[in-house]
Amino acid sequence: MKRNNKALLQNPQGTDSFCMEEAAFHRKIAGRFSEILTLWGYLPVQTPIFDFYDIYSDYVKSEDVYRLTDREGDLLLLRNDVTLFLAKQISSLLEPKNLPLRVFYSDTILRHENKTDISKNEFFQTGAELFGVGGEKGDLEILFLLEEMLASLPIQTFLHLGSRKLFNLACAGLPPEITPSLATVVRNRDFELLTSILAPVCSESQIDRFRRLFSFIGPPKAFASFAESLDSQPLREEALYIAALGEKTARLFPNAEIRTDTSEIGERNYYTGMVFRVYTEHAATEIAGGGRYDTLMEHFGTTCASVGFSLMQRKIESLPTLRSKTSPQPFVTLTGDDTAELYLKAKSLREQGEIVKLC
Amino acid sequence: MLESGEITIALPKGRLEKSVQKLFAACGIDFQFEDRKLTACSSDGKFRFFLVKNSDLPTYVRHGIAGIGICGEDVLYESGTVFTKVMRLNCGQTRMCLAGRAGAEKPQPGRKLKVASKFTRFAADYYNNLGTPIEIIKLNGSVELAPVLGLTDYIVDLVETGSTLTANRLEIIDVLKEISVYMIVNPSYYKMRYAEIDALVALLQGGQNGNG
Repeated sequence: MKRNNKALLQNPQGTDSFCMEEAAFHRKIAGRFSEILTLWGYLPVQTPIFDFYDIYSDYVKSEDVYRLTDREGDLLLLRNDVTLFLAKQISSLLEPKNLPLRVFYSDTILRHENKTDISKNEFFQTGAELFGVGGEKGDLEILFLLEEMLASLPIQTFLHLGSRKLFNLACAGLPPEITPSLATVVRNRDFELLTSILAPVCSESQIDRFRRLFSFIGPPKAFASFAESLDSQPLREEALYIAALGEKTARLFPNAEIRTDTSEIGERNYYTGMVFRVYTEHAATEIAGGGRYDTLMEHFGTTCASVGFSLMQRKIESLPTLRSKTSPQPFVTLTGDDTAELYLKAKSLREQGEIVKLC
Repeated sequence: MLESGEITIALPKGRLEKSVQKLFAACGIDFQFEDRKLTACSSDGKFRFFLVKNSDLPTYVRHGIAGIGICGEDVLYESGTVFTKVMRLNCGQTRMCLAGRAGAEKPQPGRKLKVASKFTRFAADYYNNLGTPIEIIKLNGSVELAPVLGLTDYIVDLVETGSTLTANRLEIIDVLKEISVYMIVNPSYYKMRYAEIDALVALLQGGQNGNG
């Protein structure tokens, strides 16, 4: 049979394969993360590779995902976001007696990406979710856990902390139909477009206030001073809350750069409170992101305070700073004709922790 | 890829190159591309410049090879990628236009429009938003030839002075968008180096307003 070269040489968009040393390195990083998460009392979870599409349709863009039809004609969605799939799976366990619930995952995701846009592709997420702990306690646990995991890697990271709640509060009173476009321009820091969206419904001074609020990036301490100048009490309270989260995290992790960044409002519309993304040198996009999503569980029939994060593990693994500091494990090669004898020698060496190959 | 140290800036080859270089020089940032070399360093060593093909510029910035780029909205739109736009430059302005043969019948609303263009994404989105069906034939250059030779009745193309249109007996039917040139930044690069980039933007804005 004549082989189709494209099918032989390429993978479909949104998938990835890695093997041998690369796979070993991947497992090593996953193992390191898993160790930390276990020490924090988080238990592993495994989500299905596909699920019914309808239940997630409010939260996914159909052009970014893979869908398929099963034999009964139901439309299915391949796992494109572990948090979403996990939320549904975990919803049945969220009885008061089980709370708080701490879970973690390490899994592949499948998303359709633009063929040429390799910089955004991500195929593997490791993350943690904390259910049943609201407010500062839950937010800080997640921030500290994330920073501890990042600190286990030889990379300089920049955590940008923002708030979806701040954005939602600022949009109260604006026509709801402009909110999605406003969210996009705030995230993209496109303040020229922001002005043109707000111009028909706001005065110049209102636009200026909105623009000043969502263009802030700086140390949490500076943000706290900025927050004090806000007229609206709810905005001021939320801004001070975010500044306090940043200051507390910065105090415990002095080597990490913690910044308050009000343009971080979360890409997913299920976020409700603090949100954050992590950047590092040599990565063209963020390497981690997360936040609070207290209302998402309602979509799956239950109510529960929820907060978590995902690390883009394949992006982290490809960082040159990480690669250069990780050497492959040495091994011993035993040669000879008597395989049984070689096996016994190898067994003894393996018991001492050596990696042994037979030749 | 997105490194600390010098700030990396991709410049487009061609019409914008000299005016951008002049703006930087007015702000005290001097650099020269030696003969046929495509990279250069500023004399103070703080900036590294790459000279790249206009249409490839978004790719270099998207992948973080250059943190910053100078690019027209036309190219940005076609790239389909979101960047952080930090500054609009006062040079290189042009217009995206629908043009056709002088005296030719204007396109009828609701009727299918057949155009030749290099800017297929822009043309498709623009007319789809208006609810006008459109068939686009992709050309990579000398788009003005399409109506002259009868490939299509209309073209969607950038018009600067209009002299090429006139020389080919074409005329502007509709100005679809005023096109500006922006300084764009890879969003992650901006997040990491926002203070340095904001300082550079303030400096260039001063230079642009004649205070450099």
